[in-house]
Amino acid sequence: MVAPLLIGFAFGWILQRSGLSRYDRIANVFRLRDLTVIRFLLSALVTAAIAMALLEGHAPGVSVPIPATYAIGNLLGGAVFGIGMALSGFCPGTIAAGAGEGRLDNLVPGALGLFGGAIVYGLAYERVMPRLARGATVETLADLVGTSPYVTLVLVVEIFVAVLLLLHDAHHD
Amino acid sequence: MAGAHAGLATPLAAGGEACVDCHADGAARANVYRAAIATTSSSPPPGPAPSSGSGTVARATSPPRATPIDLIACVAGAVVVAFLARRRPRVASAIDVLRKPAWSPYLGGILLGLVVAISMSVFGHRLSGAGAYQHLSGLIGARLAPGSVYWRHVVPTGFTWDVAVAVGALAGAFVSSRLSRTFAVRTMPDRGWAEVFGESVAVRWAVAFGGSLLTELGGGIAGGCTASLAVSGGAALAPGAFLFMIGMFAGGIPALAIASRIARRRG
Repeated sequence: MVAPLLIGFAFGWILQRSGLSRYDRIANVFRLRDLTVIRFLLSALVTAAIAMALLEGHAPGVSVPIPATYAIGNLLGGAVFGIGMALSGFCPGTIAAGAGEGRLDNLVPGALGLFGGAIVYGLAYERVMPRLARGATVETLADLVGTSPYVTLVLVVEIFVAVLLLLHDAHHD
Repeated sequence: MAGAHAGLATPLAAGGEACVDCHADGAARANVYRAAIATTSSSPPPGPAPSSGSGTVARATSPPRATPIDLIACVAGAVVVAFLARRRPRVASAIDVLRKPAWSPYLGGILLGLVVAISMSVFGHRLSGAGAYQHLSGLIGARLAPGSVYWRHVVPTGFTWDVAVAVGALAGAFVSSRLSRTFAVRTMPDRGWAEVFGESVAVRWAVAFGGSLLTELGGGIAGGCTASLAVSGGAALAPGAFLFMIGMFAGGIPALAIASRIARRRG
């Protein structure tokens, strides 16, 4: 149980130092006024994708968990998530980080809301999820397109780095 | 019904054989639930994942090789990136960075990416913010719905990996904010909130509760949150992660615009 505590510690530290636990940062990305969150997320995604490719096969017995794809559910759930995130300025990870830096609206209504949302989801699960998750597949973009996973990785990284550079230039103009 | 699952410790293990006794579509049923496990829990599913029955969540056995067109595409992409990257300003020195209370999104993002990669590749767990609350929800949920398949068989309960991550995040943010002197006990968020939605603590706390409820609910439906689906799943190049991000902005941008308009009209 030491590893997840340390991983969580780094997670909370990074979110706090990067200002992701601030309301304005989250809300303004949904107003397209401050794209810091996008630059943060794309940097994380690109770094993790490359590092995971380098680490592949170095931890025997570990299977990398790949989230399932079920288009309607991913999109619909994403939309509900986005509505909640844009209105509250929270996402589940930043609620913990914000609570750690002394924000009581994270610690009390934020954490209670997450707990309530998890209960609502659990109660609706049997009725909703077998339908929404029907036809779910566990595959990657490489499987989908039918190319080499390394080619897919390189192309995805190039696309996101290009987007990051364009955003950076737009920010400084 | 659900009560019949009592005593079946891991009904989803193996190929769903345990389900076949009662459900004619045992394997298909098990796959639906297993797909949801792969998305709602950051622990690897107990048993083979529904990837064409081959047995692992890992990639296909022999991936296709790169073709000349692939290589041309990669080189063309590299040229575009090199063009955009010309004439960058000097990067700040390491000491500046350690002193700074606010990190650049690139530094924060790169460090978070390394944390995600270690969590995924070394420990086999997605980095999750939402998972902790799902894993704790059984404390009340299982009492509200004693026969629930979800709390009985689908979601892990107790002091799980994800719960430890959330506890760690709380501690990490506390230490970081104390060291950078940004820690402060406060009931209201930054000024951007009050400018649009006013000074009322009751309004803020009500929206904080409702909004965070929606993130956890939506994260459950989608199969993860910003960390566990958008970043962890995106880094694994799972198509669902990118669909989630599209949904997130498609829902969030109009929702905030509408809420802001209503608030301004009243204020």
